[in-house]
Amino acid sequence: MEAPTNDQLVVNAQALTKSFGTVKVVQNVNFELTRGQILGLIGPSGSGKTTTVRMLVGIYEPTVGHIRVLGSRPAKFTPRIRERIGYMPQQFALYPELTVWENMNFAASIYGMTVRREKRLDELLDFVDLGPHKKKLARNLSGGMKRRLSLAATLVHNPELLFLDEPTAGIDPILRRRFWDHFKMLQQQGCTLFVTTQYVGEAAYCDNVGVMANGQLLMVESPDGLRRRAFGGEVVDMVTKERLLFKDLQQLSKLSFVQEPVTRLNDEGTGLRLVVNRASTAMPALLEWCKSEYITMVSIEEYLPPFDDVFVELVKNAATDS
Amino acid sequence: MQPLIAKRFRFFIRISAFLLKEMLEIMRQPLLLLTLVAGPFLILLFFGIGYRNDARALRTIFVLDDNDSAVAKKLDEYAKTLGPQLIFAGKTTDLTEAQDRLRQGEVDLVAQLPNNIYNTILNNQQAVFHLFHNEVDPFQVDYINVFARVYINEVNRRVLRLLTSEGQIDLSQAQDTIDAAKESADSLSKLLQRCAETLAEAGRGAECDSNTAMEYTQDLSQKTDELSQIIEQDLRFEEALQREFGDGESTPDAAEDEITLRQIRDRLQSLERFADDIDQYEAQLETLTKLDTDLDGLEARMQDFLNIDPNILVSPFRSEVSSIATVQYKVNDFFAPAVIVLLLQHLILTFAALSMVRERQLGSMELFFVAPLSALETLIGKYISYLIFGAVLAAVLLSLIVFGMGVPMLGSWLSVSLVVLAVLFASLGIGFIISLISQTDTQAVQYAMIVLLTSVFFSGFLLGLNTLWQPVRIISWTLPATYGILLLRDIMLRGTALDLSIFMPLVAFGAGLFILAWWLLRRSMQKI
Repeated sequence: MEAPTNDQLVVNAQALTKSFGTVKVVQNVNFELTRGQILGLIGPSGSGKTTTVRMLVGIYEPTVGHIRVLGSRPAKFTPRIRERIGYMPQQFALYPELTVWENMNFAASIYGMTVRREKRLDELLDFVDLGPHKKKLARNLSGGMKRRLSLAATLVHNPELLFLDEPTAGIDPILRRRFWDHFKMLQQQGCTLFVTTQYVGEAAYCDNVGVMANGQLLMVESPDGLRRRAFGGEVVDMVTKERLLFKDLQQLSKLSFVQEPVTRLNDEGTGLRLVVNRASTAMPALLEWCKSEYITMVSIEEYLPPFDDVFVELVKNAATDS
Repeated sequence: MQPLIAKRFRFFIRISAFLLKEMLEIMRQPLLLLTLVAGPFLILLFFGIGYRNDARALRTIFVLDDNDSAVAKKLDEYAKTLGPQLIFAGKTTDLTEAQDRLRQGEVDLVAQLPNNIYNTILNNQQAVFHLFHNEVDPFQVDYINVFARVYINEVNRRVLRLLTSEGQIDLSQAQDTIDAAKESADSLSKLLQRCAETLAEAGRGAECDSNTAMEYTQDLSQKTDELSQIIEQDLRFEEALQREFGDGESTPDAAEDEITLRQIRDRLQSLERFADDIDQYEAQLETLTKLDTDLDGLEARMQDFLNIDPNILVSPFRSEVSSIATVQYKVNDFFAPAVIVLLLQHLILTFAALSMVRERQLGSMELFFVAPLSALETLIGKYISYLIFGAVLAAVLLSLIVFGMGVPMLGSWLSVSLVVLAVLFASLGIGFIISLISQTDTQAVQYAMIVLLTSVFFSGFLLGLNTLWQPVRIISWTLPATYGILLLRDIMLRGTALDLSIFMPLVAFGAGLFILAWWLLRRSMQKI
């Protein structure tokens, strides 16, 4: 893989550690984010995601380590750099007693936008489907609408780098999907996004995914890479007509492209799940093996395990390693 | 040049963010606005209606030795007429019973009369009235002390008046002595005239009734001595009056009285020589005529003294108090400026105290950290919005009390506006400092309440600053309300110009607080 140039490198975090008193909340975190990418940070509640974001935007000073965001240390952000950054905090940080429009106006003003901003605000409210609700008081909005308003307020000054801290927390799956559609659109418009989430399934939308647990970044991988890391390769499910005997399983295990263990999928003994180096080459080889052993293959396909399972495996592996 | 202008422009846009936001948030709470305007107005209105500046009347029970004694009889008369603040609640011989009634709240005061008053005074001691109360309020205790002093003075005055009246009665008896003296002088005069006629008819050497003449003369001398003793009381009183209040000049009347007595004595001595030199009757007659005139003069002077009311003799002075102000102030007038100042300080201080805490609790401080927003812009934006809100509130409240309740506004509205703005400015400083050191809104409200309580006691709202020990007044000068109350009372009620020696320190104090609040906000916005 080619190393990103300085121009492409938007965020560079090296050996980041943050302690509150004697408690280390984030430990030795390293990652890079290149221009135009979506980097997802996935981890359970309390794993250190929000602390990491806060260090990236300059709210917290790291106890140890270095950060460069848009080529600058967050503690030394100039107003120019701040204008290029959008930050959506985890909680709704706008004002319940103001209308949707007034909240947008406030956000636009603190970024010093000119008074001719109506068009931009209208566009953004339409973008998050809040156009018809602009006169509503924020306190009367639903949870999902508040999140959308927060997102719109974050985008008001047209930032090139977005830090979104659990933007989909507490909202229904349909709306979560729409949020990711919005993020993808922003990516297409040239934005770089750093998104944290508790929903492991959202990893699929990211270009790269960082997995956090107990304050440590276990890995940063592409979504497919994560699966491979979780199970030691790709997973193939096969169903045969005849029951496979113990000796058949032993033979399968001995095949060079098959990883142990081979697990049964049903009580009849006709279904098997195998972890292989690469599914695309392993499946024809398995068909050949069945033919040579006079076993009738009913079906064979690559299995994509849900990211929840991937995440559980990764955390389990990390615990075993440590 | 262009980026600098753009930068300046953005500075004002960021400030305006808070200006609009804070105003809108307040305006969205109409009930709060109504309370802020109507609350103070109603407080003042009800205070004005309800406050009674009358001295409290005390239900007093008297304890004495014997219900049938002379003092007990006098008590009925005295207790019911001493004054309206003394309500006669009965008399008893049992002190314990009276004190029980005091504990149960049936009476306010127990007055134990002294025993054997006459002998105590004869023994050169004051007779003591013991007063018992059951008050816990130090102001009420002070009131009872003053009450006791005033009413005992009244008792003393009445006794003195009685004694003075008795003295006047004695003096009125001198009239008889004068009449008798004049009669003796008249008889002597007639005798001398007869002697003169006898001498004229019989020639020198004729005998006159010298024995009778001597008797008349001695009688006249005796009467004059009696008169002299009585008149001396009057003379001593007049001498004392002249010595104390005569500015060193002799009172003509008093001097005249003294001369007359001396002349009478001299003339009597010359008359006593009559027996030895009866032939000098013409001169004696002339002396007698003058003596008669002197007695007339004395009679007139004595009458003047008798005409003086005993009340004036025992209480020659009274006071009359007038204000140089052109307006008659009511209690509400005095308290209205202080209420406005205290209320503005408290409201604005509380708004500011909650402001940053709420931003922190809401999470918007995180947005401020990340946005290109400085602590100065944040603080100025919030200061301006609250200043405008406070100024509008002050304008409404002042208009209500001046035009609605008739509180005088003798000074200029411009001066009042400057004072109000300075008080608001300094109060905002305290409020933002509270906000930046508080962790929760409860904590911020508690700090604001402590400032309010401190202001009630130390700002001159209830008690004048002169009642405070000098070093303690340092606390007073750390409160914007202290400056505001002093300035607003002077401007509104006395019509004086803005006192810069109080106003400028308030502005400087406010500026100091602003800088401190700015420093605290900058520190908290740099990093968590």
